[in-house]
Amino acid sequence: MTTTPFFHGTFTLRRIWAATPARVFSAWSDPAVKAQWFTGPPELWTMSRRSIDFRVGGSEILEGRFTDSGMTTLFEARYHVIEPDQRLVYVYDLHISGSFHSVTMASLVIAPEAGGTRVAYTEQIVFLDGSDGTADREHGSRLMFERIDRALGLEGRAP
Amino acid sequence: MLEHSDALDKAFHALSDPTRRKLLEQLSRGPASVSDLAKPYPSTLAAIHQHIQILERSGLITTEKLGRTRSCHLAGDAVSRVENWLSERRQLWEARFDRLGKLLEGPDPH
Repeated sequence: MTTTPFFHGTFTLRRIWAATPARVFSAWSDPAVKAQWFTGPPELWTMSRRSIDFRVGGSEILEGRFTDSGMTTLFEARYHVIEPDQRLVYVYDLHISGSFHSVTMASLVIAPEAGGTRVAYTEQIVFLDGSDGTADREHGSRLMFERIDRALGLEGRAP
Repeated sequence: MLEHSDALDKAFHALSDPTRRKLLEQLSRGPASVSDLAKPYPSTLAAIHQHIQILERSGLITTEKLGRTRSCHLAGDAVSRVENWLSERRQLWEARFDRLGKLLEGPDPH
């Protein structure tokens, strides 16, 4: 049985908002606030189940469905670090239509900045099945420029 | 002897603009959505869309609609499914943060 390779990805989003750190943090800690923005793509996706137990070791679930394709999403998180109004670390499993898609470590840093709040949200992701045969990248642009150079008779000249 | 092929004419036209050259340079670092590509430029999103269209017609880049976003990458780059996932995941969170940002502009209920 062949093992499908892991693939890793990471990104960080940064924002500055004109709200207090406490209010920004409540967007994660207060279920009523979180439900207003933490959803799948609106109009395309409908929520079927949501729950949150916001404490270290507590769990959170968000389940939903894309209306057009019927594709289902299941987000299951566990909280690892909760420092009120400052930092958050949680890890979540994502299942797409019953298939285990990825495990993600999410970390949030909140700090006051210029009368508002600066946030940095980072995800470090392990994609569980990247085996699609297209892992190699061809540098098509380099080939295109080489063709242009040849056409201009520039190939082989020193820069 | 110059090869005057239609493809070369289109490529030269694409490369003749400094903004389009910068967009290509950005894409050489990896795929990106049109909205991400447009961020550093004061021009309107429509203007950047037009540049993207010219680049695509020249064959230098390929674009693909992923949900609501258009993802661009250099032509010939075999963009893996994983890169699409990463790009989609980032877009999902950008959209969530856009919604949260709007919420935070409203009055504080507490």
